[in-house]
Amino acid sequence: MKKVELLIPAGDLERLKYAVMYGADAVYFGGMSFSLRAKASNFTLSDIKEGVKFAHEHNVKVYVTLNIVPHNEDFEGLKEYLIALNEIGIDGLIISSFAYLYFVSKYTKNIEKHISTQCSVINSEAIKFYEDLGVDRIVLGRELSLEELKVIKEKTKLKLEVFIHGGMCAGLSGRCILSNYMACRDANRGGCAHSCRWNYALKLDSGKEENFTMGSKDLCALRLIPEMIDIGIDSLKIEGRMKSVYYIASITRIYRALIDEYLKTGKINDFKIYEEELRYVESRETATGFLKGDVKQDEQYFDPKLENAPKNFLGKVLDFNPKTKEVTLEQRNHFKIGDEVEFIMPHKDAVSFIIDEMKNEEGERIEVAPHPLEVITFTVPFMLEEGTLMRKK
Amino acid sequence: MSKLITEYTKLEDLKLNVSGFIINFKSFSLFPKYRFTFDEVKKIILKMRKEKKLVFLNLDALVREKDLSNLKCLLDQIVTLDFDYLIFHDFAVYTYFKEKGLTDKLIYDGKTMVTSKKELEFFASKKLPVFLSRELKQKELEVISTLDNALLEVFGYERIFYSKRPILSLFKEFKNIKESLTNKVYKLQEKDDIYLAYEEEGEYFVYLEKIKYLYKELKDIKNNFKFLKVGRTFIEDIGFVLDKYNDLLLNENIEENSKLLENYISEVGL
Ligand code: SF4
Repeated sequence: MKKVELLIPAGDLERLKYAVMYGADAVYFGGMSFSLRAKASNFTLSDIKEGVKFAHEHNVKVYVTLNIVPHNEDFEGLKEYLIALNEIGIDGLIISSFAYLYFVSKYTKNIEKHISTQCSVINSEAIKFYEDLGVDRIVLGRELSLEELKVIKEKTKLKLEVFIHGGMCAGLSGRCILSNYMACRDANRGGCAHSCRWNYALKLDSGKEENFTMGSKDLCALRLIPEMIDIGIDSLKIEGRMKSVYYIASITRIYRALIDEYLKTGKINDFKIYEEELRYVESRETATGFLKGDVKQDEQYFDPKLENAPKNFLGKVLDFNPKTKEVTLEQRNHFKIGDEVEFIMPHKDAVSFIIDEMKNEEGERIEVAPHPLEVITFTVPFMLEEGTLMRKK
Repeated sequence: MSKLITEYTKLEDLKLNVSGFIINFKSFSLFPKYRFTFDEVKKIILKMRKEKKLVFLNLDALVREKDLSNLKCLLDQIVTLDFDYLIFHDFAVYTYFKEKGLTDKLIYDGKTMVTSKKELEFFASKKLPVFLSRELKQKELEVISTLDNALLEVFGYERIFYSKRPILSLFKEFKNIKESLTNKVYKLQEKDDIYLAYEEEGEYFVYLEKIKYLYKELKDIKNNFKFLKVGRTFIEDIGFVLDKYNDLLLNENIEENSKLLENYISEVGL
């Protein structure tokens, strides 16, 4: 079976490292300029250098987003930036603008050119246009069914990347400027305020007003991954450059295991195991978008009350002493003595444990760990790996 | 000198003082309500030619793979027509026209995607005229329009959202609403602001509530644009507005017209 790339977002260097440790084949992020997700803590050039070094040491590819729709002033410093990225040796650039594409072709070598989902490419004839421009990969629009993906794959030599998990635009990507007018933030330059998810009053002819929203449920294509692999999709992409370390690690771990199981055995024994794991990190309801055909009513997100951020991430293991089995942990959510917790690790199954004693940074015994970011120590009777995270059982 | 164009809705439009009309098709055109079958378009073109009008055909939808064969059928028919330009947004249309060696008939509607001079230069290198994004500020327009392949929609409701999801129909089902929510303009209120929502043929759009227009601001740059489009989405009677823009092209009554247009816009709201 053909290998497929698992592509994970990295909001910063720390998340990049977790994505790599937990099994990403490639990571993507934005630099300080020219990239969407202005609120994600984007990478400086020295972060990029460090991230690329770390990723390449683990055979993981690095793609940098250059995906704004630029205005006249957004070309300042672009040439120098591209030359620097070329020297650092990133693997690909994700591009929305033809002018940027021209700059990339002119000032970089050996960097793949990926057309961003912002371009909403949703058919094989449009792909031909991009192919003529020397593009390597298309990040397809999210308005396609599996059947359509199959047809497109048969008709093009270009690599195809498809979103499999995360938030979705309710509108066609790149064609939504709701936030430009509703929040004075340019959606196509990183300022999307998720205005499609806001609450509106829809005034009906009857005079009645209904609470209304346009946002869609998040995407989850977990059960469709085998079909996507069979179709020959080259890269399976997860959305979420703004998501936490815990989310990135967990989601990477889930999809890594699922893809590996399918590649190894040709089937998935029990999807429910993976779905159970997803419940630890998902705060919104999910659906399959257009992947199973046209969007149905229950795929749309009209009931925001159901949104509920899970609070089960308890802490990040900063250090583990294999001799004494002492864990040094940075707290992220409240926990106490007697709580049953679970450790997730990049290469091992989750292990559970009941906290029986713990100390604060001053070495004092404590009953409760209530403060975010406080450093706690305790011992466990098993080995932990680098990158271990602790969650509620 | 720049020329005025607007959308065709009915026979009487042919008396309007414009250089050309944009005709929208039943499928693959995003203009509400007034869209025509291929046979109807054929007849409309004959009448337009009698009036010596330029003929613009509009296929500005993004096209899913499953709809490609229908698009190709339509394009096979379209190339037999007597038209001056075809406006497109999906590059599938460009690919088709390139294979036929007819790209000189194309105009790219950039929608929200063409916002810089360098982007426009890219299309100039392909010899493609381009509709600029409507969110551009005057200063940006001044810089961008120094190239000669720009077109601009100078008047009309601005579309700020385009979805392939029939969001109003899905909502109707979700809330068990009795009235049909398609083919009609609905108001969406967010705090003190109103927006217009519209769904037709399974596609959903949001527009700004107030007509957006450029008038006085165009005084010195109007002729930099190949064509100026006066948009007619949700607007039935456009004669008054076209008169004002014709004056603008002739540099006449600009101050006075500007005020009249302002009044007109505050009165015509949906
Ligand atoms: S407002 Fe919604 S549809 Fe628009 S860009 Fe943001 S997430 Fe996408």
